[in-house]
Amino acid sequence: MAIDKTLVSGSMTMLLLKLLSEQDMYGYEMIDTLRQRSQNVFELKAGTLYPLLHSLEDKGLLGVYEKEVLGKTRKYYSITREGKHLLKNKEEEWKKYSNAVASVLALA
Amino acid sequence: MEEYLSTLLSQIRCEKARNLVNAEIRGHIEDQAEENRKKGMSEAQALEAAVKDMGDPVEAGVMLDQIHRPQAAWGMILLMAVISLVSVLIHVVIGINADDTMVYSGRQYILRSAGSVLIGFGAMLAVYRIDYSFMGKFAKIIAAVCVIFLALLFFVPGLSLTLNGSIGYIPIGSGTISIKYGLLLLVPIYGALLYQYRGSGYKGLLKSLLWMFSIVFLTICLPAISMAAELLLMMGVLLTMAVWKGWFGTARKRILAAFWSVAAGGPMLLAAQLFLSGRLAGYQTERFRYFLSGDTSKYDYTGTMLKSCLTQMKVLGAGEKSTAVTVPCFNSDYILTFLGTFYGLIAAILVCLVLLFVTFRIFRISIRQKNQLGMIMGCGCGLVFLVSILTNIAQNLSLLPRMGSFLPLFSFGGTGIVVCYVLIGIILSVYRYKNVLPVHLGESAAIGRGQQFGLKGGDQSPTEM
Repeated sequence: MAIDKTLVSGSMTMLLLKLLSEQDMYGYEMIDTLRQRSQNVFELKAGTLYPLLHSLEDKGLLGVYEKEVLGKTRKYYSITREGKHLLKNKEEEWKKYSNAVASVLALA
Repeated sequence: MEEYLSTLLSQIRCEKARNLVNAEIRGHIEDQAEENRKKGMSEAQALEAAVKDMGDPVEAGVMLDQIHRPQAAWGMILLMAVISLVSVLIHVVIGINADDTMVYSGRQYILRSAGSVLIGFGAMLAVYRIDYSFMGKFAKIIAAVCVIFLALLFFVPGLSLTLNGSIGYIPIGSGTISIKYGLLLLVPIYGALLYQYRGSGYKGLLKSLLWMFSIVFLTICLPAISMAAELLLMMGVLLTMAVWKGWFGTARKRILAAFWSVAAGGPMLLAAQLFLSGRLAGYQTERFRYFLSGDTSKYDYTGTMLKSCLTQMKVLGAGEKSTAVTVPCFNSDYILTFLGTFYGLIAAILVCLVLLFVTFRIFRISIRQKNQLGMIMGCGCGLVFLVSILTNIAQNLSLLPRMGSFLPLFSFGGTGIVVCYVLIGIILSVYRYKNVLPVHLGESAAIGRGQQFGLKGGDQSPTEM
């Protein structure tokens, strides 16, 4: 089933922060992991991912460093303390929201 | 692929930022293409699918352009403008009330203090416009020129002016440049040196130490011992950061423990040796003797005056003004005591807090900086502010023996003022390029240098998109 794009993009920041709260990753790794975990529901375009990552980094929510893996220099992203804080808030907000949606749907 | 990249990159107006984006996006497409090949696609199909997966290059490019462009730290610039104005006003008041005990007449004094702030502000804006990575690239040359110049001072008479037994002044026009305050600019430059030796192991570490000790040694010979100690402390902290971050790939704890025991113990031995052998300038020997004698009240005029000012200060409003203006250097070294006496303790504390806030901002910008050269140069600027402010406060409270120190941006004096503005200029430049320069300058930047979008030989297959 195709999922409405706007439904995904609003929560993408939260999803990326969640991934990075588990381990540091580079861009391609994030897209790949998201794809696998969501059973191909989240087909995030790289053209959307990098501007988002760079803006999160600009806001101080993510940090970056370079690491050489198998002869390739990769840019790794890691979550900062501020990023973790935002993730916690977003997760709570999301739970509240999804519970509310679920209750409304159950009533109908 | 090249078409995709060039369409995307051409949306980014800041050329320097293109290299930063290029390497990452290119790597992504290559990874995706490789994955596609593993799934059984042909070379051409794999790359085509990978590029298609990327989405619209224009849309992505426009979004990246929004982020990757030079940024102005308007808050900091505004804060500097306000500080400059207040600083000039303070010295205008001093100038208006000037009597004949001062070196300059009131009008001369006002012109000089306002002039140095103006020159400083101009220098700040000029440095701000320069990409600091440019300064980083020439760090070795800058440091070498400074060290050679310092060494020449001892051999070429007439190159400098001797004041109070110290040769640290260069005559220029109707005034002098204080070499010892000028040396503070070497701190961020030293940070850049450390960055350049990154990855060169114990050899790089040794070279970094040699640079530090030659600068400190020449400063001691000026003689400007307190400045040498300050420089050693500030450069030592930068070296510690570099070692701790593993820039040299050396052992960390053992190296740092050895460094700090030598850096802390060595100067004390050296100072004792210089003092005992009588090679210090006359006034320095005197200061040492008075300080060592314990009871300083008999000999230490300045200290006695400072203490009496401190006790007469009111929390708000003017205290006993006559004592404050008799403190030597009340308009430069002891400007805090002057402010406290003339406008109340609150005024002095407020000035300190504003300066500490500026220092905090400098460190925050530096630490948040992903480009490691900018990080270490910025921290160098922050250290100069922090150490100068704390030393000066301690001086005003008579916690340290008499020595020349200054309150950044507030003390009267050409060189000290201009140096502070240049340091702020460097930090503004670091902020300006925070989203433009990559983590490390060498590798990613090198890709784009030769060809516009960094075409690598291997990528130019006939199947590229």
